[in-house]
Amino acid sequence: MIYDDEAQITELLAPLRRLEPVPFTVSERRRRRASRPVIAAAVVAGVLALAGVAVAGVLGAFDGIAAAQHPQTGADVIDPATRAYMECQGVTWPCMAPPPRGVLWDTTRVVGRLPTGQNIYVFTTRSSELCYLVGPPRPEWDCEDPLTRSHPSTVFEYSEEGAPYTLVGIALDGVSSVSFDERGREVTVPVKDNVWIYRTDYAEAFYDAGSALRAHLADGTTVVQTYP
Amino acid sequence: MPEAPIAPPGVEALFRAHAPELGRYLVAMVRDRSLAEDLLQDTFHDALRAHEQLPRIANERAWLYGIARHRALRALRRGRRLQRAVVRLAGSREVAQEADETPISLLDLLERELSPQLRALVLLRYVHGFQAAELAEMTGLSPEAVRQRLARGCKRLLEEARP
Repeated sequence: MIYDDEAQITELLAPLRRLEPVPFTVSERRRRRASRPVIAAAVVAGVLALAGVAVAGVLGAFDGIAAAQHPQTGADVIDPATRAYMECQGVTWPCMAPPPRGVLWDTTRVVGRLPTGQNIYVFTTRSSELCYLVGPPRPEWDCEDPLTRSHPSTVFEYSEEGAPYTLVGIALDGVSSVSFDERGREVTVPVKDNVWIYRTDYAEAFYDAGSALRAHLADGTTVVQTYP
Repeated sequence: MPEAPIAPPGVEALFRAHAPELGRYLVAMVRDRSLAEDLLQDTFHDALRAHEQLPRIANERAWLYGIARHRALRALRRGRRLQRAVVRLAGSREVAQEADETPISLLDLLERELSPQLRALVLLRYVHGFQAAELAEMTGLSPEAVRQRLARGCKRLLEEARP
C-alpha cells in the first residue's frame, strides 16, 4: 500500500524533474569573497582584543535585553560540539546550515531554556546583528537587526521537523507579553526575563506570529510588529 | 610552499555538476526563479566556505542538497512572514507570486498541503531520489521518523490529487 502510494507520488511529481534550471555562474568576485571572512575576522578580533573592549556593550546588539547584560560565565559559553557544528569544523556530517558570519564568541549569553532542555542563547557578530541559538541538541540559529521600540521581539521556530512546533522570542525590556492570531484565535504568551516560548501543533504558527506580533508593554501600550 | 587555492576547484566542479538539479529543487521549494537563483548562489557560497569538509563527506550530492534545503527553508521563513504581512496590509487573501511556468497546480498543491519542512522532504525523496537514511542524515531525524513524515505527506497529497 505504502509502495503504491510512493509510486503514485513519484509519478505525480515527475513534472518537477523537468523544471527549467536556473542559471548558475561563478564570478571571480564571488569566488574570492569566500576567503575573506576568515581574514577579516582575524583582523577584527585582534583589534578588539587589543582594545580590551566589552564587545556586546560596544556593539549594542543586546541593548534593552537585560537578561543578556552580564559578564560571560562558563554557563554562557556554547559547548564545543555546538560551536564546531556552527563553524562546520571538524565534523563529518551533517553540516549544512550556513554558519553565521563573524560570530563574536565571547558575546554568547544564555537567556532562557526550553521545557525540553535546550538552552536559548543570544550572541552578536562583527556586523552587530542580534543572533539567537537554541540547542543543543540539533542547534538552530538565526540573526537579525537588534531590537528596537518598533520591532521589540524576535520570532523564531525551533522545532524544524514536525509537531509540536516551538516558537521562541527574545523581547525588549518592558515587554510583558506578546500575542498573535493562530487559526483565528488570539494567543497571548507571557514574557519572562526577555524570553517567550510557545508550543503548538499548528505548523503555520510561526508565519502567523512572525507576520503580525503584538508586543504588550508593562506601561499599557501595545506595539504591533509586522515583518520585517 | 605553493599558495593554497582561493576556491578549491573540487568544490566548484562538484557544484557545477549538480547545479541544474539543485536549481530545480530550489525553484520547486520557493516558487520564485529569481530567489531560487540567489539561493543557488548562496548554496555555492556556503559550500565554498565549508570546503574543508569536502574530503570527509561521504555523500557529496546529499551534502549539497542539505545546504540548499537549509537555505530554502530559511528563505521561506522570512519570505512567508513578509507575504502574510503584505496580505494583512492589502486586506486580501491572495498575493501574486512570481510563479514558475511549470505546473502551477502541482506547486500549489505542494504548498497548500505540506509545511515547508515536509515539502522539502517530499521533494528530496520523490523528485530527487534520496533515501530515508540520507534524509535522516540531512535533517537529524531518525530514518523511521523520516518514513513516517513521508507517509503522511504522501497521504495528504494523494487525497487532494485524486479526482
